[in-house]
Amino acid sequence: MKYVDEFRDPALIRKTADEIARVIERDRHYRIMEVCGGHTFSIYRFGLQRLLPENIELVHGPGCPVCVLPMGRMDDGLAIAARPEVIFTAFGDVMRVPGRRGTPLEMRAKGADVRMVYSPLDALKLATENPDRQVVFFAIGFETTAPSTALTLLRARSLNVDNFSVFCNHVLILPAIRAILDSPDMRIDGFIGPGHVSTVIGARPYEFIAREYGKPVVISGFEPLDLLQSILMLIKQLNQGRAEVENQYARVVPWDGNRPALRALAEVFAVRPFFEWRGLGFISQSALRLRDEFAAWDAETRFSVPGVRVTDPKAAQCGEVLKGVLPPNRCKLFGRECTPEHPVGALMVSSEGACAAYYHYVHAMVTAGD
Amino acid sequence: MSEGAKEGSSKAPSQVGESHSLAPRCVTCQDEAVPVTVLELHADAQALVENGSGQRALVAIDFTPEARVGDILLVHSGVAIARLDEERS
Ligand code: SF4
Repeated sequence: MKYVDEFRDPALIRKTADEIARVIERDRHYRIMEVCGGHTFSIYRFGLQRLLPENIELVHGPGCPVCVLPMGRMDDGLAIAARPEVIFTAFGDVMRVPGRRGTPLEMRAKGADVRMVYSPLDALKLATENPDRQVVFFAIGFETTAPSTALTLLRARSLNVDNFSVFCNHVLILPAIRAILDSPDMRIDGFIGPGHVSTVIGARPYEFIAREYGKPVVISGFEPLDLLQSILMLIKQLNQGRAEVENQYARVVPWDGNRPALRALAEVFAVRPFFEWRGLGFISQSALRLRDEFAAWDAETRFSVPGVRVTDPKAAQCGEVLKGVLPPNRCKLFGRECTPEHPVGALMVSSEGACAAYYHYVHAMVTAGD
Repeated sequence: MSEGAKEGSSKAPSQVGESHSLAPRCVTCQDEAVPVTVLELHADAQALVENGSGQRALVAIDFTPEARVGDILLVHSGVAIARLDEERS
C-alpha cells in the first residue's frame, strides 16, 4: 500500500541509519523517549534499537492506556458488568486486563454478558437491538480513541437511545508528559511525539515542551523509516542546541489537529480535576469525564460504582520504568513474578506496554540464544 | 501492512475484533490507527474502505468530511480520524 511500503524500504532505512551514525557526537549519550505504545511496539517489532549506535538510548513512555489504567477502575467496570441487566462491551485488549476478581473474559466464563466490540458505535447498535437491556461501553484510550466515543455519545443523544451508557476512562497525553518532565529523576533529552494522537490534537500543543522545558519533540509515524527519520531529526536538534517541535508525520498530522474531532470532544467531555494513572499516581487535569449534559449516558451516574482503590505490590517498579528511569528488565519482578501471562504491574498487561513488548521481542530472543 | 500485519495478527488472534475489524493487531486504544483506501462514499457520513490486506468495512467519516473515493484515511475504532495529505508530506 502507498505510504506504507516506501517507509519499509531497506535501502532507505540503511541510509538513514548510516546518517544517524555519521551525525552523532561520539562522547555524548542521547536518551530519547517514545511517548506512545505504538512506537514502542514498532521499535521492538522491527528491531530498530539494533540499527542505532550504542549511545542512543530509547526509553519507553506512558503511552499505553490499558497499562496506565488503575486496577480499581477495572474493578468498578466489572462491578457494572456483573449486573444481570447489563451487556458490558469493551475493546479486545481490555478483555484480558485483570481486576482483583479476574478479567472481563473470566467474568464472561462465569456468566456475565461481556462482549468485545471493535468500535463504540457497535456498542450503541447493540443497545438499539436490545432495548430491554442496559448496554455499557467501557471507554479507554487517549485522544486517538476519545473522538469515536464522543461521536457515539452524540449519536446516542440524537437517536434518543436511553439504554446505552459509557464508563469513561479516557486520558490525555499532555499532562502525562508534563508529569514525566516534572519528576525529579527525569533524564530525557528529547521526545518522539505520538503520531495518531497528534492527528487529533495537532503538533502545536507540544510547544510547551520545547519552550518551558527546552526539550525537542519530533512527531513521528510508525514505520521503521518514520522512526529513524524522527530520531535523526532529534539528534540534529540536540547537536545544534535547538529545542523545537518538528513534524516528521506531516502527511497525516496537521499542525492544528482535526477540528471536527476537537469540536466533538469539547461538546461531549469535560476535564476531570485529577485522575489516577497506574504507575504514575494522581495527575491533575489528565482525564476526561462526560459533561453534565450527557449525564444520562454516564455509567458512573447511572449505576453506583464502588470507587475501588487498589495499589500495586511494593516490589513492582512500573513507575520508574514508565518515567524512563529503569529499563524493563531491571525491575525485580520482570520475567519472574511478572510475565504477560500473569501481569503484576501495569506495563505487562497490554502488548504495547513497555515490559510486555520487551518481554516478547527481547526476552524471547535471548532465551532462544541460550 | 502485509508482513507486520500477519505477524501481529498471528500473535494475538483474539484481539483482531469482530467480522468487520480492520485492525492488524491490538484493537484497543493504542496510538496506532489503520490506513485504508476509500472505495465508496455512503449516506449518513459513512464510507466503504479497504485495508492493505483487502479487508473491507464501513467506517464513520464525520471527522474527515472532505474524504473522497481513492483517498487514504486513518481509521481508529471504526471512525476515520485523519486523511492523508500528499501536499503536506
Ligand atoms: S516487570 Fe511488571 S512489575 Fe516490573 S515494571 Fe514491568 S510491569 Fe511493572
